[in-house]
Formats: sequence, structure tokens, C-alpha cells
Amino acid sequence: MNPRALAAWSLSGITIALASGNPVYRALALLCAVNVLVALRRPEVSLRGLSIALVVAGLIAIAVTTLASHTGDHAFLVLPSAIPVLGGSLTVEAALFGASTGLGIAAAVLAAAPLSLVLTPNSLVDALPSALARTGAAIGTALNLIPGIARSATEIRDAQRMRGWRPRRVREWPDLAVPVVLTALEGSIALAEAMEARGYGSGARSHYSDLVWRWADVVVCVVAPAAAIAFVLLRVSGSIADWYPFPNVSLPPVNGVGVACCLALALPALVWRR
Amino acid sequence: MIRVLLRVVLALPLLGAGMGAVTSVAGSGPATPLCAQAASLHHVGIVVEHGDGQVIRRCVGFDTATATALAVLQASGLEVGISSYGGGLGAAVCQIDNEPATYPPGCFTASGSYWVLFVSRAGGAWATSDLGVSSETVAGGDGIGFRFDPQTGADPPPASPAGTCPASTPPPARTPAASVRPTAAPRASSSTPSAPPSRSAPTPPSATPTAGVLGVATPAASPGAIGSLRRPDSPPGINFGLLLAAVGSGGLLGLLAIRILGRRAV
Amino acid sequence: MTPASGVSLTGLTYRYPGARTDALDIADLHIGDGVTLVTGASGSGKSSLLRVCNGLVPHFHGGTIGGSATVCGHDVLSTATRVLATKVGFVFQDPELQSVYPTVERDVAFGLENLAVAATAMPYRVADALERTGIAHLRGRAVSTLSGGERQRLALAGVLAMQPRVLVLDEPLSQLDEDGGRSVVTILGGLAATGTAVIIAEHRVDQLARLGGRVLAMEGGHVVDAGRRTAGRLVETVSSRTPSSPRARIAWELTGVATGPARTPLLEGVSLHGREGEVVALVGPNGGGKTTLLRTIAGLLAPFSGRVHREPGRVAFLPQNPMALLHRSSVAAEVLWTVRRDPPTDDVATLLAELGLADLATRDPRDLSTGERQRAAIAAVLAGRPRIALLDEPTRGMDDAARDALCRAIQRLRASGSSIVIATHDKNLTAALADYTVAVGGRTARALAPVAVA
Repeated sequence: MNPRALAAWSLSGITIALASGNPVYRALALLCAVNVLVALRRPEVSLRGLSIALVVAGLIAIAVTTLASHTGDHAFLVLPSAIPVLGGSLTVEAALFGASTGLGIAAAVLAAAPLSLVLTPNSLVDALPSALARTGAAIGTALNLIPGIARSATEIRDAQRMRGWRPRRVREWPDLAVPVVLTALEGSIALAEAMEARGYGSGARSHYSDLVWRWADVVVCVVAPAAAIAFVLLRVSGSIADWYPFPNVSLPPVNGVGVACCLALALPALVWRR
Repeated sequence: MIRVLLRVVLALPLLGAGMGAVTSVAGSGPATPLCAQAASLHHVGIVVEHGDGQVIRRCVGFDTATATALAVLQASGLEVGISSYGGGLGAAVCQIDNEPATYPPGCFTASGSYWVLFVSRAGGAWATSDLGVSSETVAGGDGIGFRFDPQTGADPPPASPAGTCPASTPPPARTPAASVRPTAAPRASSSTPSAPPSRSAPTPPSATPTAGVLGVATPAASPGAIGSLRRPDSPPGINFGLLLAAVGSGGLLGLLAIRILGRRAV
Repeated sequence: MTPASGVSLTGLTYRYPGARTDALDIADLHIGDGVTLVTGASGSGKSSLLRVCNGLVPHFHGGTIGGSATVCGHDVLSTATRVLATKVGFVFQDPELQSVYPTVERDVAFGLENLAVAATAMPYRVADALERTGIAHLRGRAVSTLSGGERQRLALAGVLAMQPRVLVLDEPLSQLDEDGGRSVVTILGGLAATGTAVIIAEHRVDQLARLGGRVLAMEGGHVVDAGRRTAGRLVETVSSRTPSSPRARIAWELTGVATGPARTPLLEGVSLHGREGEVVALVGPNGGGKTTLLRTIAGLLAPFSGRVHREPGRVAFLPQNPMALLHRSSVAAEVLWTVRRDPPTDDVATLLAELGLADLATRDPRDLSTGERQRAAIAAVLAGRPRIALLDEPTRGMDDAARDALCRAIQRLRASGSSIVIATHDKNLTAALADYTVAVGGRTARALAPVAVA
């Protein structure tokens, strides 16, 4: 699984999720993204937190739209108009429109999620273009330092506690903060020295390409952006229409080619294996 | 044993999607009139005049005292494309019966042509509407007219709405959606006007048949297409998309279930 | 020895930026093929000498340099580190602060990338380097999952991939346990046999004894002894030890304890106790649970089951890197802060004098040399009369003076009735001080037979 191909797929997914206001396409994009996520995620990550967050976001979108927009024919509740913003009829149409908005948010987030739940942070840095390779090495190095700094922070905190340090007054925080910062700085300097000793510096650099492009990677990298571009073109030309259920709820218009573009997003789940 | 059951359970969404798609295709046979609320209290006639002069007439029934012009249009069974302004400002009609063939998201084409709304109160003369299509309300016996204005020349009203709606209830018809009781009334075929005896001689408008084998094909002969306010018919061409979407989502859900359950079972 | 190989220093003087004295003052020195061991106390100039070999001094550290230094035919003062890196490989002390990329393979290739080696040639050189350091089986692993010894070998592989003529190592074994150290020494022996010049600075010369080779002793920036070493001399001063009385009160006790840093226990069924005036040594491999056990005794880690009992009184905890704790403006201030809750005594001045810090009491800890800082940290943490003293790998990277200071501090604590627990790899320290040892590892901790008095 090539990180750059996955990044291209993510961008395409986000584009499609946000390009139209139609819940049918959004739902399809969401289903594809969920499939990719479940199929390819790292075994130790749990999707529970993300799912809960998205459900909450969707509920908020529904609530906000229902409470703020009072258009629509099928009201299920009428609040007294005396209430400033919320007064008026709460309609089914507004709720459905809010649901469609939530769907779009969820689809976009889930299209971006694989970048952090499938790839490790360092392999994402690897996916940067060659021109940024040196920057990528620096960022990757910083990422490697973080666990060590966290560990030394715990050690310092324990040792200072044993010497009688209590994190009560603000005045006492330097007893923890200064050693941790100094340790981090010393660690960074040591690492910089090691990097320089191995020849890191200005000047020409080559790239150890362990980025392999298999046929599956190429296919995904071509098909997903093509689908996104086609989708945007259809949108611009009007073949893919927004869905506006006011004043009366109606079925959203569905264009076959648009649906095909959305379904193309499911490709990584079918051709890639973890 | 459990795995077999699992597979059966997982196949159901695919089956359901397939069946839904099939009935939606089969249901819209040739010349299917729209859902009829046989006991609709009120009727409003719609006249749509294309830029090239072709006219379509529809009769729409509803039970509420008044209805917005947009609702009536959407219930008429014609293919409609709208663009919303958001925030309760209403919507604009961008496309009726596939004219113009494509339109940009902002609704107004480069040539500047747009659909003009006319209202006729209780059989009276046409008058242009000051309100938008989602704000203008009509009652039983009124008429709504749409004329695609090429922005050249004057603003004449469309053809008269008179006679678009029969005096009494036209025959009920079968719905294209896969629900609803089969009705006893004969289906209006594409060539013979099956007008009930009480109907006055309708003026066959030179309407263009809406394209497509599927869906509502009501060529010139059947003026009595009646729409219900709750179930607009899906115009043709979209059914392929719906079919594809149904099959696709069924497949995706099935795949997802297989992965999740497979992971648990391991 | 051909003139084009090896290290030649003539009239070399070097001073770090802002320092008061020269760090290096070498009249004439030549280092050729084979193993060269550089010894000396902290601040003697070992590290500076090593860093001259690949240009980190003066190019990375700045400062003023005079005289001439030639490495493999290149003039160090005028050649960039990048060029010298093709001839000289450098391995540092901390295994965790040398890896750049998260996977083994990528990290070894880092040096090759910097040298703009063609991408087609890289896989062969990476594989070769992994073979020579014996970690070919770790090829696709994540670096964070490797042990200390494996990481040090990874650093070595990363350097060997660049095919240097000279290999320089600055205290490579100080952070490793015995197994890790042994594996590195084996590889160094193999490399020296194939013609690479190997220069090592180390305190722990006992593990390097079998490499043989030449010894350079340094002091105050000068080379004082450039003779050949006779085999296996152990550098150790073993303090005399008086056994504790068997009826002393129990200061801490663990009964049926299961404990661990994460959600599942690392150690189970641990039952140990320590008496006043007694020294217990915890031995075992890295990651086996020594630190966990210390933290459980200290009360920093709650056990999953079992009981931990501590007599009331202060607990002194010396962590693995005590120098990190020092941030106040003077050594004396650090010591006083530790004992601020104790009844006032003149113990502080005695302690400082004992550790040779009497004249450094008013100095800022950060200005001191490494060895002085280590002693200052010991003084700061172990000052006063703690009831229990817990020390985690205290002799890491220590020179002889600091180790002696540590032994004296521990003796003083024992005499005043503290119960002491030391987690260490250092056999000599264990032999010198411990009353009995506890083997920690394999999910359990077992007391071994008491250490016989020498």
C-alpha cells in the first residue's frame, strides 16, 4: 500500500464528499470510506472514538438546522414564536436537511481518516514528494524523539516527587518544566550531532525508495482522482444537482454517472490488503 | 452452521436492493399515469410552455386548502430541477421537463433565459407572479403557468389553462412506486385517451412526450395525469442512477458486514 | 601504517566556546589500524579527541582550534564533516538518540542518502551492513521495538553502510546491559580483524578487555600514556564493607505483589523485604522489571495485588539520568532543597566534602563537567538521612572518580541506617556493596544467596 496513492485517494474522497449537496452521493462516499477504513486500518487502532464523534456531529447538525430554520411543510413541533431564534415550527424537512449536512461532514472526515489510522505518522512523512525529503527526514526525527521525551518527563516527575516536590503552586512548576525542556534540548542536540556525523547537511541527496508502486497502487492513484474530477465536472455542468427538500420533502435526484464516480471510491478496499 | 446463516443474512441487503431496483424499473411501465388521490378535494391545472412553443398540461390534485406553486409543480410528475437560495428565501425553478438540458448551480444559464411563473386565479386571465415559486400559493380551481422565456421580445402568457382539469374526478391510476393498492380503473395507454364520460373534450396540447421508456410517458393523449402531493414520480433517466446506487450501497454494506463479522469471528 | 590512513595530530589545541581552559593539548599523536582504547576521567578530553577524528570538533561544536589534524589524508580543519563522514564513522553513547527513521532498513540507508549514493546501489550496501552487524533478521522491524543492544548495533550498521576506514565509538556500552554489550564487542572484534581502525572511549574497560589493542590514557587534555596494555586489568576500587546486623528493623516489605507499568502485570508473586542499613542489589536484563520494582517500593506505582509496606520517613530516588534534575543556580542550593524538610544538620557540608564538591558548592551545575555533574546529582538526591534509598542504574556512564563518590555516599547512607536498593548491571558495584542480590526477570523477582564478604 503506497502512502502517496492513499493520500491521492483521500483527497479524491474529500472532494466528492464536499462537492455536492446531495445525500445520496454523500452516503455512497461515506460507505466507501468506511469500507476502506475497516479493511485497511492498523490492528491496534479502535474506530470507536471516531464513530462516536461523527454521530455526535451529525446530531448537532440536525439539531442546529431544525432549530434555526423553520421552513418546510411537515412540522412535528411548533415552538412559541416569542423565543428569539428557536421560535417557530420545527420541520421534518429541516431535520432531513441537517442530516444530509451531517452526512457530508462524516463522509469527508472518514475519507481523511485513513491518513492517520492506516498509515503510521512516519510513513505519511515518507509520502512527501522528493523535493521535501529533507524536511520529511527532520519531521520524522522529531516524531521519533517524542516517546523518549515523554518517558524522561515521567522519570523526572517521579524523581522530583521523591525529593518532596508537589505540583501545588505555580511557582513549583519550573522544578518539572525546566529539567524536561533541558533534557529535550540535550536530546535534540545529541541527535543533531549523530545526524551530522552521518553526513546530513546541505548538498545533493538521493532517496532510498522503498516506496513501491504495485499495479494496485497505480490503479487506485489513477481511478480515484479521475472519479473526483469527473464528479466535479458533472457538478459544475449541472448534471449533479443539490438536494433541497423545502418546502416539501422529495426524493433526491440521482445521476448514474455520479453514482459510478462515488462507487469508484471503494476501490482501495477491494484491491489492497493490509 | 453459523457461517451459512451469516452469509444468508449478508445476502439479504443485496437481494433487497436488487428487488427494489427491479420493481422500480418494472413499475414504471409505459404510459403510467400518476398516483391519484381519487378523493382529492382540489385540483389545479399546470401549463408548461417550452421555448420552442411545445405545451404540456397537467392536472394536480391536493387535499389541503392551498398549496405552493412549487409543490404543485413537483407533484405534477414533470421532471423538475430547482436551486435553493437557502435560509428560507425559497427556491428557483431551473429546469422543467429537461429544458434547459443542463444548468449551472446558480440556476441562470449564460443566455439568460429562465422559467417565468404565471398564475391564473379561478380560471381568470394569466398574470405574472411577484412572488417566487415556493412562496406563491394557489387554491383549487386556480392555474399555474410556466413559460421558458428566451429573453427576446415581449412576455406573452402561455396557453390557456382552461380545460386542463376535468370537472369531476378522473380515473385513478396505479403508482409507479412499489406500493399502493392496484386500482380497478383502466390504465391510460399511450395512444388512446381513456377519458371518463364526464370529462369534457380535452384540448390535446401539443406536448412533447417526456423522453424515456421508463417512467411517466404521457404523450399528447392523456391530459388527465393526476399527481398526489406526497409522491412525485421519478422522471426517467434517474432510475438507472437509483438502481446503481441501490446495488452499490447494498454491496458496500454487505462487504462491510463481512469484514466486521469476520474479524469478530476470528 | 601508510600515511594516507589513520589519524595524525600535531600540536593540536582546542578550546570549547566560552570555556576557561583548553580541552585538548596534544603534541604528537598517531593512531593507526587495530583497536585503540582511550581512557580517562570525565573532562580529560576523550570525547573531544574522538570528535576531532570526524570533524565534529571544530565544525559542529565551534570553539578555537590550533595545530594540525589529518584523518585518512584529509585535513580536518578545512574539510567539511560531510566529506569526512565517508572515511570516519561515529557511534555515540545513547542508543536512542541516533536513529532517524522508524524502520531498521530506512535508518541504515540514511547515511547513504546523505552521500547521494545512487538508489540502485543502496539495497546492496544496506544488506551488507545489516549482515556485518548481525541484525539482518531485524530488517523490517520498527526501531522502537528494538532493545538497547540491538539499537546500538543498528547505529553501527548505519555507519558501516557508508564504508568508513576508521570507526570511532564514544562510550558505546555505557547504556547497555551485559548481553547487549557483549554482542557489540563481538562485532567490534570482527571489524578490527578485517582492517578497520577502531577507536573506542570507554569507562567499562572490563568488557573490552578481550579486544586487546592499544591504550591511550588521557588527562587534562594530554595523552599521558600511549603504551600497550597487558590483558584484562580491572579498573575498580572496591570499598571495604561491613555486614549489617541481622536483627535490624525492616524498612520496606513487599508481600505477594503483582505489579507492572502497563495494564498487565510484569512481575507477579514478589515477596521481598529490606532492613535498615542493608544494601540489596537488583540484577537482571533491561526491560525485566527492575525499574518497575523500584517504583513499586517507592510508592510511585500501585501494585495490582499484594501489599507494600514502608516505614514512615523520606524516600530518596536516584533515577537513571539524575543530571537532568539539576536546574537550580548552585550545587548547594540543590542539596539544600532536598533536605529542606529534614531537621537541620551540618550533614550537607560533610556530604559535599565527601564527594569532592566542597569547592564546587556555589557553582552552577550546568557549568560543570560530566563527572562533576554526576557527583552533584548524587549529592543532591542522596543528601540527608532518607529512610529508604532507591538507585536506578547509578553507574551508567560514570568514570572512576564518580563511582568512588557513589560508593562513599552509599556507605554513608548505610551507616546512618537507610535501607538501600540498587538496580545495576555493574558486577563490581554489586560485589563491593550488596548484602544480597535479587534476580529480576522472567516475570518474577527472586532473592539469591547473600553475597559473600570479599
